[in-house]
Amino acid sequence: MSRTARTIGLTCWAILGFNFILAAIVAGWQFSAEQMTFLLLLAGYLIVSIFIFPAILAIIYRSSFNYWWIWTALIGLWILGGVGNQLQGQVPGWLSLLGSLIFFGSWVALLVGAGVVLFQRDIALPLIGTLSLVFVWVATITWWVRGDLIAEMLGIMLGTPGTGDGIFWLAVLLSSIVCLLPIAIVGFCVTTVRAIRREIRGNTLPAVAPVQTESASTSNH
Amino acid sequence: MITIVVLIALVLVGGLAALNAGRSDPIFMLLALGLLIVSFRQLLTWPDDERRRYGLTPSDEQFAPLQQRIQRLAVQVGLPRSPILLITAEEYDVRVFGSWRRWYIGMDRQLAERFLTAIDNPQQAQSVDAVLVHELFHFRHNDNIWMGLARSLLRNGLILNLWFGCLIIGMVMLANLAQDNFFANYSPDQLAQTFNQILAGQGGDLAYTLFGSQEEFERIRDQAQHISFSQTIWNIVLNIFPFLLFGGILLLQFWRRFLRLREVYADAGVAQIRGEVYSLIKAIPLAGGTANSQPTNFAAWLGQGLRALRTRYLASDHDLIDRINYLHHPEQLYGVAWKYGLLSGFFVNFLNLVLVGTSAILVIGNWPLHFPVVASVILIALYLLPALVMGSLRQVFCNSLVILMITVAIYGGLVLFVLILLIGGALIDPAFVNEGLELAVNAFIWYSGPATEPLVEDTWGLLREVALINLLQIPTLIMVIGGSVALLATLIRRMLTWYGMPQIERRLMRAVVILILLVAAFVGLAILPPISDLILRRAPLSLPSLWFWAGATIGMLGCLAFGIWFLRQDRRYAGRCPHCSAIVPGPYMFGRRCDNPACNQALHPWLEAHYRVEAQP
Repeated sequence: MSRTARTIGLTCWAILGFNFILAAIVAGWQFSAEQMTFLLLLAGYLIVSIFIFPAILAIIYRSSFNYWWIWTALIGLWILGGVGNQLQGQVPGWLSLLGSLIFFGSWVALLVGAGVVLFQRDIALPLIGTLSLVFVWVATITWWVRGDLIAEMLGIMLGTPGTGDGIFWLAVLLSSIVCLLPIAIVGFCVTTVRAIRREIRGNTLPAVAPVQTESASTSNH
Repeated sequence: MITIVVLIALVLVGGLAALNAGRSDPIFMLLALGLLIVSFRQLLTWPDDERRRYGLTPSDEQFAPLQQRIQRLAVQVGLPRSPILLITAEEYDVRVFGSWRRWYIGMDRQLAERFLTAIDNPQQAQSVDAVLVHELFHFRHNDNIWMGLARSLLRNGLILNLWFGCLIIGMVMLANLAQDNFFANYSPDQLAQTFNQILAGQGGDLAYTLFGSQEEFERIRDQAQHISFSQTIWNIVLNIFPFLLFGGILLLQFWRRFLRLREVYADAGVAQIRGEVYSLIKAIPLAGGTANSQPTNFAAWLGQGLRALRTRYLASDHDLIDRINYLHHPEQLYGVAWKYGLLSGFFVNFLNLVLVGTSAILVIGNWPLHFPVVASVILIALYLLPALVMGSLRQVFCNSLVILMITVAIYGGLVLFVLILLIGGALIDPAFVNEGLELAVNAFIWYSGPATEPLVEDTWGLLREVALINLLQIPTLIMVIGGSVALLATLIRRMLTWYGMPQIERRLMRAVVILILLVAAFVGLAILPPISDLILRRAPLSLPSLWFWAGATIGMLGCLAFGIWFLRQDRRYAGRCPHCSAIVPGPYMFGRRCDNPACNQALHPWLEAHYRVEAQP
């Protein structure tokens, strides 16, 4: 790991630690309304930085996205977290909160992972095409099967009992696609610029690969 | 090759852009732009995609002699840069690929090793050189770029249209479902009440900002309820289907021919550089000698089947016998005129059907003759070039006539077929024709509702009008194409007498291509608009816009500039020997030599390639 990556990593851990201290202060002490407002802002910062934390970690350890098991683990965490989030009211509050945190954290990490892969490999265009089709057809079929989605959405917004049940995963899928599409578009632009730069540079491969010398091969070890 | 690719690009991209006719949203323009961008981009990423797909890596020290040979031959062929040799362990044969500035020759390891062994033997080395020169000529002819672009355009045209069709049908269905629910269950007043529960006192503002006033809402609701979503989907299917169908046919039927043409031109390069083709003929089994193994399981069997299908329709290996035949008899390269006529006729008419079979007809319908005339003039003129060079006027005349008649016959056949269908339908039941026409009109109008009144009052009157307009096009096609080709043949023949032109081997053919394009542009901009007005019985030049006049002016100025250049070149170089500057009167003849007995040099040595087909005894 490079020095920069190590510095970013240590800073992240420090921010996380600071967040826990802040959380303890907010939870444990009594404050006036003005102080409470200020602390709520701090709590907002806490929540945001908790979601930024997995993103930064994913960027630092981006090479791990080359392994399938990292993806499997993150998707597993994402689903488990989502289930925890959905069981709000049926399980202890701390478990539901933990589920939500895991859910959003792994989601952010997955999005970063997708971004990393998109910048490394030229798969943005098929991804954009597939995601847009999935988005439209999932929305269409769901509407067809479930009926009025506007009522469902209004029900969720108003907290009407009995509405919005089971639509959680649809919302998650569609919003994931909405988040992924701009990443894929940026990935497409980046890989296009890279291809143009390669073209300008011309034949960049060595015509005949240099023979690997003894010293060169040993220095690699 | 360039012409064919440009025609494909014009039809696919121009056709998509023309679909936007009468629409305020630039959705098809964006699709056309997307097709262009994606196709160019794919050409840029082709080297990387190919390397990744086949595991091609730069050749190591073992193959250095082969790379050095490529470098030496690239200089001989006159390439500005040497391609890089890449090796793969997979079955690959030998192929060239690359973009504008990145050139690669890919080879499988087995073949590269065979080549390495062969270059130690002086006789077999000749064959290796012939194969490499053949591959290098692909770069000299820019085959990698034009074929890459044609393939990207056709492939992306199919994929993009299919994707767009699926997306837009899904969106229309979603809009249909949403509007059913929305207009039935909600109104701005109801939504204002609902929003007030979330944002006390501000719900009304929010609802009216989002959905407008109650009156506006009711107006939109009435309009939306008149939209026939099934007709909209029918319209989408009909607009996309011709692109898919004809794009697919072009890919399957013409792709192999493009590849064969490319190979034959590269073979001609070998003949020109090496003065013999025996070593190339001998080398073909050496290069393509991959043994066919029997499939051992279902996956292998399926893979072999797919490869065979790909070879049948998309690869060029099947045409090896033809290639060898053309090396023996180059005069048979372009085939007999009627075969070329059938090919070019179908090509032009297929592309034309893409344009007239969709909403693009709203634009193209105003200029029905432009595409078939311009495309046919270019294709016939290009076909006649070898006959003009060989100097046979009779052959030029007969061939042009045959190709012209076949192209027009195919065009006329399609027109007659539609007319017979309409007249037959009208004889059986005029209402049937009205329904058919209504269906066709619905295919070209977006977001329409069912017509409340019959579209056609007088069926027979309309059929007379349609028959007259379409049948008048047939003699017009013959006259305009025939006249343009005759003009081109005369001018090109005259240009062939410019013996004294410096660097004629590079400049003359470039000038000929520019001449063909200028004549085609002149016909499109100056000759066809008044003729179209006459046939369609419009007021003369009633449609042209400012853009038309700008284009026409630029076209005229271009023609004028080329005319002045032509006359100056003609005065300076026509009938003048490049070696002794003596006057050589009379028309051009293939293989003609200077009349001056002291000179007696070939006047166009660059047009002649002397080469041996058989091995030296």
